[in-house]
Amino acid sequence: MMPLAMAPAGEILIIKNLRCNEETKKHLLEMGFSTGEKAEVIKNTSSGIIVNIKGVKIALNRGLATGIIVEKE
Amino acid sequence: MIIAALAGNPNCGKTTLFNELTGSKQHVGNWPGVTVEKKEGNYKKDNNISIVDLPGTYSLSPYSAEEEIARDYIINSKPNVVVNIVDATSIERNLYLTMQIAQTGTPMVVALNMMDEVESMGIDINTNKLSEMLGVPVVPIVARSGKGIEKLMAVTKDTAQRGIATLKQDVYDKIKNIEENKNDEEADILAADMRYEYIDKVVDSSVFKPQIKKLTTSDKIDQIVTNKVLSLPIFAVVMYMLFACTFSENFLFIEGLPSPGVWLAGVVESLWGSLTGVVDAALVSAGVSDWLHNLVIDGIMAGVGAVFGFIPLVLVLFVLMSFLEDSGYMARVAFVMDRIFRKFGLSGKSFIPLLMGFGCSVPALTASRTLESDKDRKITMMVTPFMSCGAKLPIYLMFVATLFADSNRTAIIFSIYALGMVMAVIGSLLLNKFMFKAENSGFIMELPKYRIPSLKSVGIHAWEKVKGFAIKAGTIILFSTILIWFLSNFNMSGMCDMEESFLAIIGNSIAWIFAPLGFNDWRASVGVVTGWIAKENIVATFGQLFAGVTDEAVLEAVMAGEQGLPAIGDVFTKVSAFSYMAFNLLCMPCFAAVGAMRREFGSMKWTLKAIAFQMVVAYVVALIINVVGNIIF
Ligand SMILES: Nc1nc2c(ncn2[C@@H]2O[C@H](COP(=O)(O)OP(=O)(O)OP(=O)(O)O)[C@@H](O)[C@H]2O)c(=O)[nH]1
Ligand SMILES: [Mg+2]
Repeated sequence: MMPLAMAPAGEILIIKNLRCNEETKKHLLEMGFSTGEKAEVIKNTSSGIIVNIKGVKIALNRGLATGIIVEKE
Repeated sequence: MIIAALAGNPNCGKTTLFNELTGSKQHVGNWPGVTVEKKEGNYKKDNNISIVDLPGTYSLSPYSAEEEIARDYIINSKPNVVVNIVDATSIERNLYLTMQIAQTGTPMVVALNMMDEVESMGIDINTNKLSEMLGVPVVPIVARSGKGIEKLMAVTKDTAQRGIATLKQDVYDKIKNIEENKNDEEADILAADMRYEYIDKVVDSSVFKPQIKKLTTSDKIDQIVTNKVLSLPIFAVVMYMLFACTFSENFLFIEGLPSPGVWLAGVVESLWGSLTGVVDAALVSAGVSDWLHNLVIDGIMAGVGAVFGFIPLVLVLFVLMSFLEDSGYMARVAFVMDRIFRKFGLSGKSFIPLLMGFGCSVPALTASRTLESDKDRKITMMVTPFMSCGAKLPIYLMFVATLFADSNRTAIIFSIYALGMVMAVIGSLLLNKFMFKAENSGFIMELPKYRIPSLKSVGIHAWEKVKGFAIKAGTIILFSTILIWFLSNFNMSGMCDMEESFLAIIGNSIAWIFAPLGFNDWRASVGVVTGWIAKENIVATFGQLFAGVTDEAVLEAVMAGEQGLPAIGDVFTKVSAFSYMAFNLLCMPCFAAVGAMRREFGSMKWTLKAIAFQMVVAYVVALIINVVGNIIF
């Protein structure tokens, strides 16, 4: 288990848990970050992370990506 | 009358469909959050159906201001039917909102959009199965080409007339059941999980995706444009091209090659010059009185013409901006910029309103609605007018042609745009430090697919903007031109010398305010004031007040863009001209933009604070330019 912010590009991960306030958690969920969902890291840079989830590309800053706990597939 | 609301995730094609259905020309762009207000129109082929375009939203529990508008409309205004547009290329995520809307019991139809992209990706969707499992009609469409929309409207009408609520399946009931036990914080999360669980089932049995290949072209482009080293240089080149194509005299660094914008402007200006000549000759041969000749030639033709000549530049700027907006690149820049913008107290999403500010502050201020944090949004709105809008460009061109003809003109204009950007940064830093005490919010944004901009939408968008500009020239500018002509040619004792006119008296009474900035002249002060009506008005005002004192031959040369207004040189030096440009760039924007600020802040107090901030910044910057400039030069 690790935060999404630490995942290298190319990795396929499974969303385990969201560690952030309720409002952000709900928003992340609505944008597709549900537990058990697969996410592919497209890019991990100092500005943030780009992941492919449910067929959509989503960019997050490092702050948010740190609150998303994932596990390698 | 049937009211059909278009609802769906951001960037799924609602406005494209709305334009196709109603024949309107609303703004379409390839990034999430283009539409931030609800728009209404009638279906072209059946006036009894009224269509409402809504901002995009990911769910019915809103996260930002424009999402709230969509939610409120669906829940409270009770449209007869909701047309839920689903981006079929990312159906899993889009169906989340579908499930929520279905749960409200409003009659609904699902429009499966982007079917052209679905086909080219090799995805196969069984719409009958999908419809059966969701309990609502599903119609595949391609909003961009209009394919399938007649069928969609027939189904929509039918659904609205029958008025049946969505089939209440046990799934919806089960989710509702959980939600009603709201005492538990976890209820929302649980309900969301259940929705996704069901969506997985729906998608498993109705969507067939080919095995995805490793990296798509779009992924590869993303790796380059968001690359640590390359992202900023790429962005700089894009911005350079945007401005260079518009106003460079030495395009692509080739000596003497005009950019498309400059070339077009030259053509229009010389046409206007000939028109002025024709009108002049006609007036003379008709033997009209002196004052009428004066009003038409020195007033209207000089004033309005000064503005008209710049329309081609604005056209080129808008075409390029729409192209950029349609490509999908904007969302990437917002992401790359986020880390830098945070340091100034802004969000990466501020980039979009700021860039739109180069076109016009009014839509730019409205676009700030997509910023979730109140602090980010307020700061963004306060500095957006620092981005030099299309209407301010003519001011610089006028001064450059007159006073900086021997310098590198492009560099002068660039430096003013840069000044605006730098002040936006410094202004945000100051506001963030002294006015707001809020923590930074997170950044999350969907990156749309790269799309080749459709000629139609770029054309429509640019045309609409230019039309607005031309209408302004024919109405507000024409009206103020006549007013200024009157005020500058009359005083209590009738027609008089300009130096003794009403306008000179008014201008002289306020000129002292600007004396420390280097332009202690009544005409310059009047220009500042008429600029608040519309910024290009400054050029129209100067066109009258300064061209009026010279002869016809000079006037024609000015209009043809071969020569500046030489009389300006008697009043301004290079330094005071620069200070004047800076002051007008940064001070209170035009009244239309002030109105937009008032609406978006939702408070007069904040609007006044913003104006005061802009005025102080403008005064201080112009003062520094004047003082420092006079020491150096
Ligand atoms: N290929 C393809 N592109 C489409 C289609 N419909 C819309 N688009 C493109 O999708 C992008 C978004 O379209 P909009 O109509 O602005 O989307 P919207 O749903 O109104 O977006 P927001 O107002 O941001 O919520 C634009 O680049 C359109 O050209 C379609 O059927 N096929
Ligand atoms: Mg829209």
